[in-house]
Amino acid sequence: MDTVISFIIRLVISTFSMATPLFITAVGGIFSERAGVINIALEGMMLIGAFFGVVGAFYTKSAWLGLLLAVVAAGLFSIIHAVICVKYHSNQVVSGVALNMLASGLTVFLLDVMFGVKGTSENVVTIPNMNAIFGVERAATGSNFLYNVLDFSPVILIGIALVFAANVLLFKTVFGLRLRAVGEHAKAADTLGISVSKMRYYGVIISGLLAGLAGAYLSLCLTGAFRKDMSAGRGFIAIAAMITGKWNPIGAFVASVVFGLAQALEFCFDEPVLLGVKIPNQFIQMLPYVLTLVVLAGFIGKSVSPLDLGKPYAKEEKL
Amino acid sequence: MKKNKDCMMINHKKLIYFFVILSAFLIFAGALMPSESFAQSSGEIVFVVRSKINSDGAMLREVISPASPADVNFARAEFLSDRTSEITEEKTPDGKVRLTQNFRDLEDCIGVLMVQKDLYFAERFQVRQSIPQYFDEKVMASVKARFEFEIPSGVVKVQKDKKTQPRQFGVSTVNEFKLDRPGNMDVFYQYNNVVLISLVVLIVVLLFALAKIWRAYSFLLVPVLAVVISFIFAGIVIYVIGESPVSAMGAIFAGVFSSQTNVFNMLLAATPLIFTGLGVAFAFNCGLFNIGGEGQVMVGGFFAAWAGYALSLPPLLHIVVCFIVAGIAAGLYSVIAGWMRAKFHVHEVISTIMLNYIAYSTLGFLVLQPYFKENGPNPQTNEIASSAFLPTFIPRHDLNYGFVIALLTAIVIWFILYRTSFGFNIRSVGFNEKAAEYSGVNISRSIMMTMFISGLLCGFGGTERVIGSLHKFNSTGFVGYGIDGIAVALLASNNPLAIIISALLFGFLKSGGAYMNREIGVPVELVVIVQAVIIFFIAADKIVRNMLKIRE
Repeated sequence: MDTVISFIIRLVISTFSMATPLFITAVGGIFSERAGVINIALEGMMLIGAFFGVVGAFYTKSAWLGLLLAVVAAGLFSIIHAVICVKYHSNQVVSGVALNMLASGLTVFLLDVMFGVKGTSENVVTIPNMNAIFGVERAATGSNFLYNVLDFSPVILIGIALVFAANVLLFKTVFGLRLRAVGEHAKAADTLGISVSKMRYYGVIISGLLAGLAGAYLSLCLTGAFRKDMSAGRGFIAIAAMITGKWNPIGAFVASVVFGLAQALEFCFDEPVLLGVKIPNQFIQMLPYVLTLVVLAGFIGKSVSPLDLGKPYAKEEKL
Repeated sequence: MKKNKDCMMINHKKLIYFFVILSAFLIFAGALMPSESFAQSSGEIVFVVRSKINSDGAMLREVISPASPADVNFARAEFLSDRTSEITEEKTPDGKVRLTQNFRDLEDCIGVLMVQKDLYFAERFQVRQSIPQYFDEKVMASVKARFEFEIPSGVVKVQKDKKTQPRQFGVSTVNEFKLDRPGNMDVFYQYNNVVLISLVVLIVVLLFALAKIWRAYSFLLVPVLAVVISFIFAGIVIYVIGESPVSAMGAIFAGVFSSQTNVFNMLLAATPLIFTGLGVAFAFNCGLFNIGGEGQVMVGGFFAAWAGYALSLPPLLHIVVCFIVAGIAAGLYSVIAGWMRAKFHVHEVISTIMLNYIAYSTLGFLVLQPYFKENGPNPQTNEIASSAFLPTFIPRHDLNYGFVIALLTAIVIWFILYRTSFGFNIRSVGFNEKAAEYSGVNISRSIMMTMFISGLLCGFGGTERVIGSLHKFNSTGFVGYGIDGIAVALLASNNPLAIIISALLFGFLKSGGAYMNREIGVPVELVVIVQAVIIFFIAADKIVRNMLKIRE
């Protein structure tokens, strides 16, 4: 019985540790896309967050300050995307591709220049888990129930809180209404006196801040060091979660947890077995992507993007 | 009306004359100044590689480098030629750099040791044959390397094919190798700062002038200026990290134009980019954004490898069959996105991204299956039959007739797009989908055909990699070509013929960047940054247009 319980605890915690970077980033993506700006640069923004998290933690010796620097850095990085897409009305996908490329090159470049290493940074201080924060020690004997239950990162709680905060912000406040209006019908919103470009800037920058947080979670909670291209497609899984969750924070959260569970199964079992057949890990890895295509095609509830997504909005010239 | 007044033109002309005269003066002045030499690594490079096999089978190779960064770079390049290991780099307290190479697999590290021992006693051309991209004449000319092997005496057991084979090693060997030839430095290093900078200014100004005088050529301005601006940006970055921008840029040029091998390296790097660039551009012409190049290149590569070893055919036919099989496979894979777009209105950007990762996982799975996998520790397919090898131009270099095929493909695609009614229909869908539909074009069919051809072209890129140089498929050797293809297509404004030039530019950056990294020590990722900045300025062409006050 004890082993079953401890196994379930382990599974739940690893599910959420895998899902957290996904749903934090996905919620960020929702802000950007609800405002009408396609953001496939989430991957790059995560990478920037992961890198500057390590930089901050390295120089300040504090993981929390590293987290802060990561959020700020990724926020600044996202401004590039915002300016190019909103001010210069460029193709948002092209800008996203370039941003991903820039992030991948820049982080490794800076890693080499700042730390003089290739590929992997030095280990830095990490954000302590909840058990360390509450001072729960691992007992030498007997049940470690409390220790095991609290063996997760506080960022997971922050992330879950952010999901619900985002839901309120998007659907219960004037700001959220305006943000969504700009993404659904920019011209109508503009006619009503909402500044389209301002709302789109907000949307993209919020997505950058959140992706930075998720990236810092990867480097400061999961690994404790920066590795080249360490986001490893999570930005795109976050996009998958966002679409599967129908551009809705709660939906994206649920989708992320499902994807996280799939990844956690990979950890907890060497080879998961379903109905007596071994499932290769590669099939678990591609689950989010396949599920997204299925959802997009409308086989499981149709997912419809905001109407003005990807359309640059130029105010008409004054005559 | 006010904007068209001629007085604006006159002002520009005066400005142009001023800059031309200024640049000419600067070049003249620069030529008179004593030229500064950036040569830093002439003479002998000495480094010591200490190899040690632990009793648990892991091997550690360390380079404890002497002073100069060129030495570290050389050692790094030497290590990088072994793809089976992880390399870490750290600074020792006394200011030296320690490179450590960790092998995951005992079989690999023994292989490397054996190769190394043989190599460095061999003739120089054999060294170049084995690892051509890292060894060129100049580096080899001035190398003095010492390799120390420390191997535990006795028997080390090697697991191979589930049979344990004992192998006997000596206690410890030290090998010394020396080549005495003075290192010759590159001409580009002899250029003076002033000359190079004023040349750049002159080129920019001339372009500016050309575009102003001949409006017809103004379409060239944005791509060219995007490249120039990104190079200037790179120069600033290099300056900020405390290196000399001129010698770094000089090294990029030297790395490409200093020898035949280097030029061939550039062409080899450009070949798959021509294919993927064409693929992306073809889709763009129909208004479709194919980000799936990554996956399609992999699918193409995989099927080319399969067709290469599973079929036995006469030489030329085998090559053709490889291309056809791989092209059709990649095309069909890409059609999934086209079909979803046509049938369910799923945006192809999202579906192709997802398909990339699906391809990556699926092929990662397939390559491990006994039917495809070769015998050995590495996840890769069997080597293709020699009848499927694309012939190379010269011996001992991978540059192959795939390059010629790429050029011909570009011409064919240009012809299809601009000289056939099929191409016209596709472009009309890209230009205005509704209008095309009303004039009787079958939109769904056009989209699916376009995605098929786009995927086919990307698949050709993978095919060239496999039957041209790699000769087998592994799931890591194909990363990046699809994304680079987007950059290539954007820079070429999706014109198939211009793609050749822009692919050559990116090939130039790739091969020159590696050389720069080795010579100057500037990280090779600078090239990726330059590439990204180029795309930014192409995407936000309004920045450039506003800067120069050119209307679209």
